[in-house]
Amino acid sequence: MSNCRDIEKDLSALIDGELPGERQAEVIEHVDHCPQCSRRVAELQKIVAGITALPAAQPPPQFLADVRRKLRVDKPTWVDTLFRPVWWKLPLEAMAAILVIAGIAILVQPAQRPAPVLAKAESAGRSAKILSSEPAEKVSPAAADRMLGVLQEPVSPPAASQPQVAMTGGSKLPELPETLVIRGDSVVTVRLRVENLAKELDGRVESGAPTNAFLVYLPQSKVAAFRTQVRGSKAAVSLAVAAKEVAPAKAEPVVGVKVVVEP
Amino acid sequence: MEGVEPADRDLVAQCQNSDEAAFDTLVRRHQQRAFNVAYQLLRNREDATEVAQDAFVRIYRNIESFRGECEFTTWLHQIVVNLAHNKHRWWQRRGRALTVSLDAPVETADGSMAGQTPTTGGGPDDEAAKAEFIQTLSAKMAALPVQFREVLVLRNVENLSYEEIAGVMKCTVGTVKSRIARARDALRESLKHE
Repeated sequence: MSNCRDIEKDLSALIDGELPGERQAEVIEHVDHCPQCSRRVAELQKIVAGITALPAAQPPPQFLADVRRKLRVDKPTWVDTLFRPVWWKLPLEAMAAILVIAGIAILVQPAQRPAPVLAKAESAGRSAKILSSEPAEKVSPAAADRMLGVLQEPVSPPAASQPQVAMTGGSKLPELPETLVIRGDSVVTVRLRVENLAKELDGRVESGAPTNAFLVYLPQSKVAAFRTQVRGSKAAVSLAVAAKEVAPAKAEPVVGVKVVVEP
Repeated sequence: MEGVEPADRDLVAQCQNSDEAAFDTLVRRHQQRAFNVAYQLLRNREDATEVAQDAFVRIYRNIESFRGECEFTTWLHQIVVNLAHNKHRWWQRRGRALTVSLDAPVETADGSMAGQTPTTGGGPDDEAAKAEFIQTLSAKMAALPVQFREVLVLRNVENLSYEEIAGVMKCTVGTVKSRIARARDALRESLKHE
């Protein structure tokens, strides 16, 4: 016959009818002949009967209505949908975001190289640099236009009718052979003035934080007007056209003018 | 056929087809079960109501993912036990232990009342003794570790088999058997000191 210690661990399962047939017979036989285990079974049965007899608690009458209210009020927000549960969604989404950013960076990288038109201008070495203290009047509009001719180089067509040129990439300007130098005003003041003027002439100023050198893009036909009006300001000293992009046949060519502000 | 209650799995299928009335039927059918399990685990009506209601909210939101691999009631028990477990830990972190005084009446739907057991033909003294025993047992159960309470409630209140309990608690039948035996032994030892 089995000893009590071996039997005790199965007494609960015996009461619940969860012992396999052979083992059940073995345990019952032991209990029938062992007063100690028999008493233990009686105690366990009393406990089971007591738990079974615990009064059943009833839910509040408005239970269903409250569930319905919770379904309306606790409707998951987009934050819940996107980020919860945080412990697995957030790391996964962070990883996905890194991959997307890396992918975009790889795709965008070639577009950030200096545009062919500007690179060509630099390599040509035909510098018509007039970044000097010489008055702007010394550079005639005709001369500037000739420079444009020198720099003419076809590039890929812009996507929209809005004036576009090959971008220089961030705030780093390429070494342009022609530059407009403005002295006597602060960078911010000059930038503001040039921005307003460029806007009036359907052009735009290269985006980015104000620095002492920036590019202005203008339709070719508006360069002369820009030149004249900028020159009208007390600070305008010299001006030249920097680069030109040949747009598709129907669109007007756009010209880049480098503006440098000197204290 | 008129008058035949639809099976749970049919109601679940209807819910999955956006039948709101089917969900209401499921709630009405199982609210007492969900609430009672939560109440026996937490011994607090407010907490039990919140847990049971949140369980149905969770079911509603995840009804699409229920593939019928287990009974609906097993799924419901799983959610209620998990939420009650979380609530218990939440209170533990805030220093509120689950304790029921031996003098405290056993709580029921209508508030508080002494434990009442089905009449078995005993005299008034027997009934009083039984009520007192249930009161003591209720308090002792509340003092058990939560994993012991869970198996005892599922086995002796919900009358689930060991295999069903293993399904709810996602453990082996052996673990359930051992845990039930240890829980009852702990109760037995605890009652000896009364």
